[in-house]
Amino acid sequence: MLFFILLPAIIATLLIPLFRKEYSFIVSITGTALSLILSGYHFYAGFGKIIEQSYTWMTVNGYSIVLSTVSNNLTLFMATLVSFISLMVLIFSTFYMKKEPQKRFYAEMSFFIFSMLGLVISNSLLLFFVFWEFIGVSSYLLIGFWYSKEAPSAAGKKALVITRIGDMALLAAIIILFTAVHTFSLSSILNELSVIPPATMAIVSVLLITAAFSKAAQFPFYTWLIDAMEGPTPVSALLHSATMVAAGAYLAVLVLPIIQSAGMTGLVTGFGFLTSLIAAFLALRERHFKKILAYSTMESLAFMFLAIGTANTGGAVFYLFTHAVFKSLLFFVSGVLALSFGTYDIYKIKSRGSRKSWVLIPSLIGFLSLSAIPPFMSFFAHLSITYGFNFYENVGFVVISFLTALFAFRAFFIIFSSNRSRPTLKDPAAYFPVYILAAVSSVGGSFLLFFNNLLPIQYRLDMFSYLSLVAAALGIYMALELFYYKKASRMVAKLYLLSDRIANYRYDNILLYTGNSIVGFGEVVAEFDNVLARSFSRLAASAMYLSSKSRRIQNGDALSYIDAIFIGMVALLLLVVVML
Amino acid sequence: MIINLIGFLIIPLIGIMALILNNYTKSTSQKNITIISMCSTAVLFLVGLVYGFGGFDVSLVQSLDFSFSLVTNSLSTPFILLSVFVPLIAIISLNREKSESSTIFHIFYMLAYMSAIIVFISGNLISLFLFWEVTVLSMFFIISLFGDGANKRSAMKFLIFTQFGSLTLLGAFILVFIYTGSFSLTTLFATASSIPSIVSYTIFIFILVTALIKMPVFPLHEWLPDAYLSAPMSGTVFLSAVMSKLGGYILILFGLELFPSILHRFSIPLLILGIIAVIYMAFAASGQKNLKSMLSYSSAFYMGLVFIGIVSTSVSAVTGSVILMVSHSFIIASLFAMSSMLFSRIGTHDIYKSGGVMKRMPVLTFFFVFMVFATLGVPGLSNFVGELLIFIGSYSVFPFVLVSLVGLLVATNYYLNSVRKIFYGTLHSSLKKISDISLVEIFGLSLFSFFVILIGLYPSLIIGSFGVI
Repeated sequence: MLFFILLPAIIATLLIPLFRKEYSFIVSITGTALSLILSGYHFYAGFGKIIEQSYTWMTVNGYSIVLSTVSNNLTLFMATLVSFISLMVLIFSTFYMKKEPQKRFYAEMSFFIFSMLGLVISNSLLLFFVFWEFIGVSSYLLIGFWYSKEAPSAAGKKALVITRIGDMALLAAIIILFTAVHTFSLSSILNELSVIPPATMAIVSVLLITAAFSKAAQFPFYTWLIDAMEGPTPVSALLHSATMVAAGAYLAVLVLPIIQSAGMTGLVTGFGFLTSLIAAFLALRERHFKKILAYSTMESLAFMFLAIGTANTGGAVFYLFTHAVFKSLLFFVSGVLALSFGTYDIYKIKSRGSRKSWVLIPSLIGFLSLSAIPPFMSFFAHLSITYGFNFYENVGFVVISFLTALFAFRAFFIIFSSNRSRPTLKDPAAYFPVYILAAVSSVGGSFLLFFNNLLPIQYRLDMFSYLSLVAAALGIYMALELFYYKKASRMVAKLYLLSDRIANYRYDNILLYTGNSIVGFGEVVAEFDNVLARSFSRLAASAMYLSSKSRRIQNGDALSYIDAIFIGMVALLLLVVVML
Repeated sequence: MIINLIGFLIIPLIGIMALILNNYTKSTSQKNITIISMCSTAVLFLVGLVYGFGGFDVSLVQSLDFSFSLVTNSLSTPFILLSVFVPLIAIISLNREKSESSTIFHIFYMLAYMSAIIVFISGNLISLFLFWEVTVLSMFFIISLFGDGANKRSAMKFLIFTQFGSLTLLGAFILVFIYTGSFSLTTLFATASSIPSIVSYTIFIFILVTALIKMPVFPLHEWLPDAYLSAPMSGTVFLSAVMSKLGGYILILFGLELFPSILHRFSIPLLILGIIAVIYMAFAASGQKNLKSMLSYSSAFYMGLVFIGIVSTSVSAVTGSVILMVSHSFIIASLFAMSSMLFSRIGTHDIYKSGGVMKRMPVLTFFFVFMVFATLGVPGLSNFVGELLIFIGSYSVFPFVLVSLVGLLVATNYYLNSVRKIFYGTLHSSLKKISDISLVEIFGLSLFSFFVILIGLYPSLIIGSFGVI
């Protein structure tokens, strides 16, 4: 039974309140570890098989509303990946969240992991939506974990409101699809695509793309992701690697046939390129370590959408895997540095002496992975992402590779460029996950060789791969010259200026304006309604006046009214009894 | 052991009698008596669910076909469920009301409670109308005597509006009687086709006006903000959780079951009205600064969704509407109850004048956020099922109903905003000494949550409890 995978995580959520707060992490970790073992077992046992299981939730008007799960290579791989990364994050949390109120944290984390595991094994779009909403809700709670501060609570709210735009779009798409083919099951829907009229298809695709983009923080929805950095670092690591944003890409992978048959793949690729360019430029000027990583998440997700847009789901999933590993690694590094030096500002981290920290090598591995330098695994992922690209897309990708390496190594060189050094915190709970992920990142590329057994994946080492590599190397070299040796400061200033200029076009302002005008509109409507209600109150007042003329009939004593009503009731009852 | 429906009249009446007697002897608190008699009613209902309900019929005035008959129809069970449990749980959880010790308040509360149940099981139009009126009058007195602010004026406004609705209802019933010669629901459904079409249109319009006022749906909602705001909290709970459902019930029973073809013909214009109402209410709610007003408008927003579901005439959507009514009843009652718990501690309904309450009241915050999620339609909780079915059903009738999802989006924004302003942030300096909710209040809120989760996970319980419409 596939849903057994979910049980440990949700049971852990429910059990945590019963335990003392010192033990809550044990419950949470045990639950997730069990989920990992179970998904690993299912992966092993169910490899190459497709098993659907369904459960009728309710029957209305002859239509059964069915929730179903599917076990196939993709879902089981995702489940294993999610529980593996989650386990790492939870272990890291025992280090990062040592001084925090823990029960709520671990309960919310377990619930989040439960939701994500449920999402990846869903076959019915309705069940998918259920977990999709759970993810939104638990991310709201986790991002706003430090509720007493202003910024996290605002960020949590922003995340939920913006992703809920996507939620509503997804719900609308599901309803439209259900009306067309009378089923929620994704596998049946994909079989019956030819029945659906093209106009409906187009609307559904736009809605689905909106949903995927809002969850995956693509343009124009990305601002929530940057603000979400206000949450605890383990939360960022979880949200940004294998889970929340990945859920958006995963949705797009699942519904790709719908998007394809509506001919909307160009939209996905176009927005993918736009997002990755914006992200790379914005990351160039950012000083906050986690926000740099957030921009790089945006960019990596955009890479996945590039692959999806070129009908290359294998590449997208492989990159999702790669990205999950190195991104959580980088977040762990940022967490260790922040706890040791008390800040996320890369310049301050530098000046407080991070040179000889033990995270130097792991973060180098992380940043090299991010820049897709061989032998690290994301190089191999890039080979497969670019498989379906045409000439222009390839050229664009080379440019983006350069920018990625530049902003990644800007951060790296700034953080580790000072000669001062102070001891960094060292804790088994911190270096165990970091080393494991660094190791996977270093050798994981070899997965590509047998990934094809798992999911159909194609890759190619062509001229553009070399060009991208050269561009990335150039980016690293430039970062070295500019930010480590601090040459050509005028050029840096120009770069920042360009980046600032893009930042000025940031959607934040438009979004803020939209938000404010919606709130303002609400106030106008409320005021209008107030006026409306008041004008009707005059009517009531005049009735009061009239009634004051006939006051003598009413004596105003409520008890006598009650008596009258009561006597009436009893009389009615007596009458009833007599008539019987 | 079949439960005779007359029990729903007798037990509350015994309770009222006990309240009057106790007023002289003062042996126990009035609230205990109310709770005990409501609990007995609830037990009666639960036993009836297991063993079945028996109808009750006695003819009073032969010539007028006025019989006092109580029957369960295909719709009753979900509505009895909400009208039996919600006021009971509300009175348990609300224990800092100023009306608490008043005999009169409890008598009116019991009267409203009893009559609402009887309306849902009345098999005769006259008794239906009588008890319908008793709920209105009881609420009028509750608002007028125990409310605060401009309570007298709000009560009068409430009375005028709802009495107008009752008038149209009465008009509809009289017309029905003239053309079918019967006040009995069962014969009515058999002979409804004999009503000439012009008359049936008139009756339909009358019923529609009644429902629009009662639910209330824009543009006949003007009594709502004042009445909800000035009523004591238990009154507001009753208004939003039970009385608004009377409107939905009437609309399904008479609009949909009696004149399906007329409703079908008017479906699209009414759906457009529903969409406008939903969007209007969503924005009106988002502009409120007072928590109680915000919840009132939000309540009207959900009744707008219910209205959309009913007038779409699609079976799934109507099913969804019934589920949404039951679910919304529990959710809005608990939200109002919590706003009262908050008010009794922090002394203001203003969303922007408190902050950081979570630090002192984590349990209340937990329940509040939970109910906010429930009301926003997070799956697994009851509202989601209703909303889903309403949208699935009405989409095939009129695709533009999906526009009302925008309303849900706006609702997300203002609900989360109020949560953030009240519960999150730094603790307001004047609130250092407030304490979390008591065990009794936790018990009440847990009961509400229990129903919300139960219906959310097993909607078949509700769907199975009413027959095919």
